[in-house]
Amino acid sequence: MDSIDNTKFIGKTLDDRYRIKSLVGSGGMSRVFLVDDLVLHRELALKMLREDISKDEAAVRRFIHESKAVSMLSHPNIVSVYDVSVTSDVKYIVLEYAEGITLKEYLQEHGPLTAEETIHIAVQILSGLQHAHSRGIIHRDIKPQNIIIAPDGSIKVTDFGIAKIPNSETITMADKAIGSVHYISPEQASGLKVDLRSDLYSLGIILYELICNRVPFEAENAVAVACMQISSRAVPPSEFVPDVPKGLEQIVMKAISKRPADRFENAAQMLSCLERLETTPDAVFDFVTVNEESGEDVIPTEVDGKAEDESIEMKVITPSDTKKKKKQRKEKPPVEIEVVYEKRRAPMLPIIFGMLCAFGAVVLVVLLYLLQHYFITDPSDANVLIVGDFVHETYSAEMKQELESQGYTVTVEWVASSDYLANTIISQTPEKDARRQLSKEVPTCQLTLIVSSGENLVTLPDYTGTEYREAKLDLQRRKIKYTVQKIYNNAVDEGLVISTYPAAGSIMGSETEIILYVSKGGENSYISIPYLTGMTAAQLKDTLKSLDIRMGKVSYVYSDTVAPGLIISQSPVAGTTVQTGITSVNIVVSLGPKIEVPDVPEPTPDQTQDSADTSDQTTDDPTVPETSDEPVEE
Amino acid sequence: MQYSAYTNVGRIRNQNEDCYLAETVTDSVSLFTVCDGMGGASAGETASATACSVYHSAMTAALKSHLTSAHLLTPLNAKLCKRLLVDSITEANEAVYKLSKNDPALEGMGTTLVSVLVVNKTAYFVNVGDSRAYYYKDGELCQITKDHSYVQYLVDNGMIKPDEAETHPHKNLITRSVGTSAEIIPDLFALDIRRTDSILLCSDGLTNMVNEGEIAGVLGDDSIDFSHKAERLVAKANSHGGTDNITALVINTHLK
Repeated sequence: MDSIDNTKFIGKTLDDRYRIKSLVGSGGMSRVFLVDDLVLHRELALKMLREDISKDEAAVRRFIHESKAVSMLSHPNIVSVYDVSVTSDVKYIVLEYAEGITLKEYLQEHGPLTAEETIHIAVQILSGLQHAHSRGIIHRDIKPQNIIIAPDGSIKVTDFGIAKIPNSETITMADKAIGSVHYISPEQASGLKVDLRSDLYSLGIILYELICNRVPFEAENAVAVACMQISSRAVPPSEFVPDVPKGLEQIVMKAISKRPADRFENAAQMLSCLERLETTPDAVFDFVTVNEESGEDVIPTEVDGKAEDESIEMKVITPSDTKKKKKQRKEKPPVEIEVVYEKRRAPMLPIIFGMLCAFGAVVLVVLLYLLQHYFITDPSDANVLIVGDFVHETYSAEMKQELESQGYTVTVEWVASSDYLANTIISQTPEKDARRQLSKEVPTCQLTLIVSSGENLVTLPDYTGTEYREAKLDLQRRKIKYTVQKIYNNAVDEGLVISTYPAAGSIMGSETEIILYVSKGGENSYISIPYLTGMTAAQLKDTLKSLDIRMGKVSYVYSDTVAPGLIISQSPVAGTTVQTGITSVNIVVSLGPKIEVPDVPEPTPDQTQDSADTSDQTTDDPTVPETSDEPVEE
Repeated sequence: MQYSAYTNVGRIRNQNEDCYLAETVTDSVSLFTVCDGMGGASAGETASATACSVYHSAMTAALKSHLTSAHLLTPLNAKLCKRLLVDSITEANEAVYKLSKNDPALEGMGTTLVSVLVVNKTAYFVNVGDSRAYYYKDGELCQITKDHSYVQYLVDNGMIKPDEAETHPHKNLITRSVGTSAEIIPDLFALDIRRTDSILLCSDGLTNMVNEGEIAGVLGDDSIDFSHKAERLVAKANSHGGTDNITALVINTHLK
């Protein structure tokens, strides 16, 4: 489909102005053609949106909006946009035709680059970015494929925010159709808002790649790479290229900081650092990065690369003695269990100590909370009882005593429940925070608690070998839910229960739905019908008997080609898979050639003798099988 | 060490791609592992079985050599155990990865692996993937390992809330697994088992169907014979749907 679409445009002229000369490139979103501008007499590039994209109204609107904005940009390091056209048939933009190769290709041929070259390229890209950012335009897709190097060494950035997928801020992780994830910023990978610093991040990744000839985050699939953007720490370039200038390494690492706040604020800042390096290659910077020292990363980081002992921290876990107050609805790992990979030489002892302190703090908080809830009542009015929150608490005799000492009279209603553990309080009356006035006449607050008695348990009886209908009745009587599955079984007669799931005698919750496996009897086998044509009746009989196939209808026809008594055709045809025992085969048997009995001419007086001698044709065909009137035995 | 283990294909799947192994090396050293395989056709089964067996072979060989030879000189301390775990899971990773590269039918296969090495009163855990290790004590089930899943990343970074992870469309994406890449970075944990009642290793087929309160209920229910606990957990998962393979391995750590 692709080649047809492409060539259909060659030679055409769009909008009476752009004559399409050849196809230059083709991507997921669009095709790029080399065109002649018939008005201004120059060669340009025309980028045409693919048809399926152009049907999406929202995408088209974005496309127009962004193209207009980008067309305002005018900078030697940015590929200029000259025209935008949106009609019902085609949507395209007309760009400066930037000759040269992409940075990706350049790197493939010449990589890794020297520090000087890297800085030289970076400075130009940043220059272009600075211009775009100052006009409120973020590129969002900075990658080596979008950087063009002209034959004279000048750099142009192309593909500014134009013709992107409709939701270009959010990237579908499961889609393989994401553009290259290797250059996207953590905020882009997470689906967060993107700002100009995302472009600087992507540039940082590019610089890393120029220096090291590899990207910092590589994995087997897009999801993993995206996650690495979010949380993996990059191996510093100096590990791969020992003599990379320290200052350059610093700039690159700062540019690819996880948090935008840790990166350069804007292109100008990054640019000035790079320019410093151009004049003073040995310059070293004093960037303050929050991540490095504290190890208090909100985002857990891990060191990418070898799984050496020192780099993998073993987390020590301390089980708590105090029962936590709230029943945990969903996992909330205790404070200690945080997978924080710390710096290589961090000692164990302070970590354990720190954790114990944190743990102690948690215990303290829990205790305080307990105190507050159970014991503190409104000091200003000692006669008013504020009802506490007991839902999801575990009910016990001690609790009852405690409650009574607080001024409650406790009534418990037990209710079987498969959702709540035994002894868990499901609900209470009155509700929490209700106020009850206590007085001499009414000295206590009536508190009713509905407590779970846990799941009712039943023992599943043994129904093996019983008539399944009876088993069903029994299960219904016991109020046990069931489903029936009928399966073939050679050992158990049809209609009887083979087994149950769970097994007979199992103790299970009363709400469990069991499975009754009922026998369908012995499984029939299936065979393929062989060729029966050409067989005699006797052969047929034997064959069918041995295969356990029945004989169906037998019909007789005359045939000039098949000898009488042999089978002409069969139905079903040979090769059909049929079930033994019940399938029958219809056959057509040959009667041999139909012998036309010609009218015996009136014997002439001369011929009478002869014709009487030679005529031995009778209508009684001796080759018709004797048994033709009877059906062949099964 | 007393344990109870059970695995089941569940009610929806055709094959069981989970695998588990339990091995008592000596009176005081035992090794337990659960693997949940993934991959086309039955590659998942191959991945989990290979990882499990290679890992166990490597571990037991190393453990035995450290236990028989002058063990007083090289005691099974935390540092040594950590190294053994990392080396063994690395070996398992290489084995699965190699298999997947040599056979196009097995391409991309991988497996989770969660394992616990119990040495006297300490349990050392190694984990890659979204199968889990928990400890149970006094009615409370506490998760030890951290899921290497995409939704966990989103939760960690505040993109979604923990309960949103349950119904997230990309719930099944895992970010680390054994055998899908040449290198592997496992998580390690250590736990003093003297203050726990039991340890549970399980595949997500259990935790996706049964909430932690129910699991704690089974673990804490003294009327259930210990040797049936794993089966009960699996039965619960099936009764709630059983949409995936289910494996539960419960280790009794309670002091008599």
